[in-house]
This record gives sequence, C-alpha cells and structure tokens, in this order.
Amino acid sequence: MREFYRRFKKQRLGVTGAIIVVILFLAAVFAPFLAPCDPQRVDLSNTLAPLSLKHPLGTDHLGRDLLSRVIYGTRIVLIVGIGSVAISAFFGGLAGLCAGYFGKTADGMIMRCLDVVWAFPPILLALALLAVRGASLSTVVLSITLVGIPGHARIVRGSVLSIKEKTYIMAARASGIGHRRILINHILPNIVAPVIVVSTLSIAICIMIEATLSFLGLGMRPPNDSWGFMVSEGQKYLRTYPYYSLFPGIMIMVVVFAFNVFGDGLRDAWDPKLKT
Amino acid sequence: MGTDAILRIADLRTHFFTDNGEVKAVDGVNLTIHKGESLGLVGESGCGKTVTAYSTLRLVPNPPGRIISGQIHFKGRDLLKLSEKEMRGVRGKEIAMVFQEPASSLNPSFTIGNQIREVIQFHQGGSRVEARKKAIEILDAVRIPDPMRIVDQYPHELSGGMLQRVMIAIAISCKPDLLICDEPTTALDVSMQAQVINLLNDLRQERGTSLLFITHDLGVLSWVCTHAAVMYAGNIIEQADIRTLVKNPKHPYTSALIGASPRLDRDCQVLDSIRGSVPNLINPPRGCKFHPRCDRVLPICTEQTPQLKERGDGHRVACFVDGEGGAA
Repeated sequence: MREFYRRFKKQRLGVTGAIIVVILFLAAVFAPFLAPCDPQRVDLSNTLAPLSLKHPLGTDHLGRDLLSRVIYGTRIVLIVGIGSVAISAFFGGLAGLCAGYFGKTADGMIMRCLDVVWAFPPILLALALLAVRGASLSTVVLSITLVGIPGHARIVRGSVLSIKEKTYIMAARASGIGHRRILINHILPNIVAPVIVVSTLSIAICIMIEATLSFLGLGMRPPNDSWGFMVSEGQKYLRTYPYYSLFPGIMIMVVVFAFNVFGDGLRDAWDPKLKT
Repeated sequence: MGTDAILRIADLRTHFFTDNGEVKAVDGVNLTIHKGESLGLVGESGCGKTVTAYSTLRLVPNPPGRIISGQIHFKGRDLLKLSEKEMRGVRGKEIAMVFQEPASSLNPSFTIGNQIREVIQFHQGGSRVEARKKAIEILDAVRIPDPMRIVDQYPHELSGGMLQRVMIAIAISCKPDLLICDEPTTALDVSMQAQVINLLNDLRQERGTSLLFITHDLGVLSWVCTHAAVMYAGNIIEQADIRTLVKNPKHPYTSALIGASPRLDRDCQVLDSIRGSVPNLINPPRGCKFHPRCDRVLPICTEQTPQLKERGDGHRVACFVDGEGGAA
C-alpha cells in the first residue's frame, strides 16, 4: 500500500485530479460553512445581480446566491456520481466475475440479461424509470446505476476471461487452491486496474447523465442545486446573464476532468510493472 | 530404488470434444513411477505429455476435455474417484507441479513471498509470520541468493531462471511425494537449465521426492531421469531405464527421436528428421499409429495395434518389429 502511494505521487496529473476530488469532497461535507448564504434564500429585489463581493458568482433569477448553490451542488454531484458508480461497479463486477469465471450457462444467462439493459439508450432508460417512479434523488441514482451495470459487467467479464487462461491460475489450481480463493485472491487483484479506469470514467459519464436529466427537467425537482439543473435554468438568461449557466457548466467540466485524470493516475500506480 | 509404486496410471484416456470431433489426446496410457524414481516423459509436441500430467492432477480444462476412463493410483488411492475437495488436498500438498513458462506461472500482482505463503498457509495453516519464515527457508533451499530480499519482490523483477526456482520452491513447499515438471527448462537458457536440473536432482536425492519430468529434450532427460517413457500420439510406446533407452532403443520412433537430437560429440552436418508429422488425433491411423512414418513398417503394423510388452529388465516396447511384437 505504501508502495502504491509512492507510485501514485509520481503521477502529476493524477495527483491534480485527486486534489480536486478531495476539495470537492470537503466542499460537499462542509457546504453549510463554506457557502456565504443559504442557497435557497430568495431575494427578489436582487435578481441576476452582477458579480460582487457579496455574491462572488452573482445571483439567479430568484435572487439566490449562485456560489452557495454551486457549493451545495457538489453534494448531489458526488452522491450521484460516486454512489451510482459504486453500486453499478459492485453488481456489474459481481455479474461479470461469475459470467467470466464460470462460463457456459451462467455466462450466457447473465450476459443476455445485461444485453437487454445495454440495448436501451441510457437516457431513455433513465427517463422511463423516472417517469414510473417520479423524480427524486434515489430514482436518479437508481436509473444511472442500472445504466452503468452492463458496462462494468462487460469489462470485468472480458478481463476475467483473459486472466483465467493464464498459467498462474492453472498453477494456483495445481497448488490445490479452490475456486473461491482463486477468484478473490488471484483474479480480482488483476482486474482492479481496468475496473478503476472504467469506474472513474463512468463517474464522469454519470455526472453528465445526471446533468442531462436535470437539464431536461427530469432530474430532481426544484428547489435543488444540481449543476445540470442550474445550467438548464440559466439557459433562459444566456444572452443577458451568462454567469448563471457558465459557472455550473465549468464545474461539471472540472469534475469530469478531475475524475478522469484521477482514474488514469490510479491505474498507472496500480500496475507494478509501470514502476518508474 | 524402492520397488513400491507411488503413481500407477492404468489405461488412462483423456479426450477433448471439439467441433471437429473427438481428439484422443491421451489414449490408453499406462505408466508407473516408483518411490524416489524420476521418470521422464518424452515425445513430440502434441503427443499428450502435458495432458497426461494435467489428468494426473485432474486439471484438464472441461469443457472441452474429459477423462474418459482409466485409473490413477496414487499412494493406494484412485485419484479419479476422489471428490473435488479431497483432490484439492492432494494438489500442491502430495502432488505438485512446475510449469513450462516461469514468467507467466506467477501472479504478477503479488510478491514472491505472498505466493509461497499462500500455498503454505492453505495446506499447513499457521500464521502469516510463520509462513513467511518458511517461505524464506524454502527460497534458500532452492538456492536463491538473498532470499530475504527476493521474498518481497514482484515476479517481473526476477529473471526466468530465478522464477523457475521460485516455482520449484512453491512446488516443494509442502513436501510433496510427487513433483510433476512440465518442460521446466524449455524456456530457459542453457546455463539456467543446468542450474535448475542440478537443483531438481539434489532435491530428489535429499528429499526422496519422485519426479515426473516432461520434456522433449533427450539431453535434459538423461541428466534428470532414472527412467524414461516415450510417448507417441497418446500412447506410451517404449519405457525403460534411461541407459537402456538411449543405448538400445527398440522402437523405431525412439531411435528416430534419438537420431534427431543434436549432439556435440558427433560430427554431422544434417540431423535426421522424422518424416511426416504427428498424426491427426481425431482420426488416428489404423494399427500402429506410427506406421505411416515408420521406416521398418510390416504388413501387420497397418492392421493391429501393438501392445506394450516386456522385453526383459523392465524394458517395455509396443512394436511388432524385432519379432516379439504385441500381436502374439
């Protein structure tokens, strides 16, 4: 583990990503202390105010402080992004592991079920779920999770298929080690690298799907601080007051970028062969 | 040499069911290894040597492979009748195996020590610290220099020869009665080969481990083995102690194999090659499977399959040539 940390430190871009991610985490946790105002306090006498010391990022069409809303938005972004990816990586990974290692019937059944999910356009699937269950944070997470499962399962299955043919798996079997231990001790550590990459990339994708859903007005209901929702609200004022959409938009970009480079850094640090 | 058989394979048949038909990779192999003996299994690529080894450990990939019939008696038990769980207790502990490619036989994500420790703890229990200590001892026993340092290194940091010694270390860590080596020196350069062979010889003498040594290199074979069995197209065709086999081969295939081996002490421009190629194991030739390539083929060879027959002094041959044949 110390070795891993040492190697990760050398990935400059990865460390940058990690720092941004940590800052976002802190912002999400300490939002009430960081935000200059209550994000939901309406001040109709001061709508769409220009940037000022009191409102560093201006105010929205209801006079709410945009900086505060952006800070609170981190919470939603992280819950949706990390939460849904963690769940889909877990279930997708489990499905892929079983499908890849046991093969035959298990493989066919698991993968065909996931193909059904895979066949839906992700936004459409999310839309359908949201229509059935009504818009809420948990439904957004659930629908994005569902969309993410087949991708994870495919990556894991592919990696397992290639690794289980390796001689060291046969060697482990020849040493008397059973299937469960082989799966956990020998196969799992070798598929961590691709899973990390896919997960961090899909955190970025999830954040964008959430933003898209919110932008379409199908994410969480107002009042909420989702960045995607803010971009969509601000769209109406784009010509006269671009800050409304601009800052949440920039934040989405920064987060997506941070998770991508963080993931790349993790992967490179994980591979003992890439030691520098 | 003790006389009690540690491993006795009787009429083993392992077939692979492919889309093109049933590949009879091992088709009636009979093989006996006595305690402390080191038996070499020789033959061309694809003649079923490795499949015989995998069958012994019941590691034939299924599908497509399956052991059709036969018995594998190991220390009085038929391994083919054991449950998968009992078999796990045999693998690694009583029969261990060393593979051909040392570089891919170790898990790249773990240190050497972790991998030796895993096997030790699996079979013998004990704490991490104890197992680690044993791992270092065992690395020292296979003559790895500076085992305290090597134990914490990853496989890619070591050379092929070192890795093969690590593999041997893992294999002998639980003091198996039988060690199966599947071409352990093929991927190594000559000086490394010599080191690994010497190591195996010493281990056999010190620990009394029996050895099933698979190779296609007769030179290596004569260094390591006390006995040898020649395999062709899924059958054992000749078996004898190593001296007899090399000096006085009876089967035309064995002679051809010896003729095809390069030797430093013989001045020749062209090596004899065996004409033709290994027969298709889906539809092997009728009669003796070697007859299409044999220089001394008799009419009977195309009709009947010769059986392995004793020709005195433990020398067993499956051939009709030289009179005694299997038909009578």
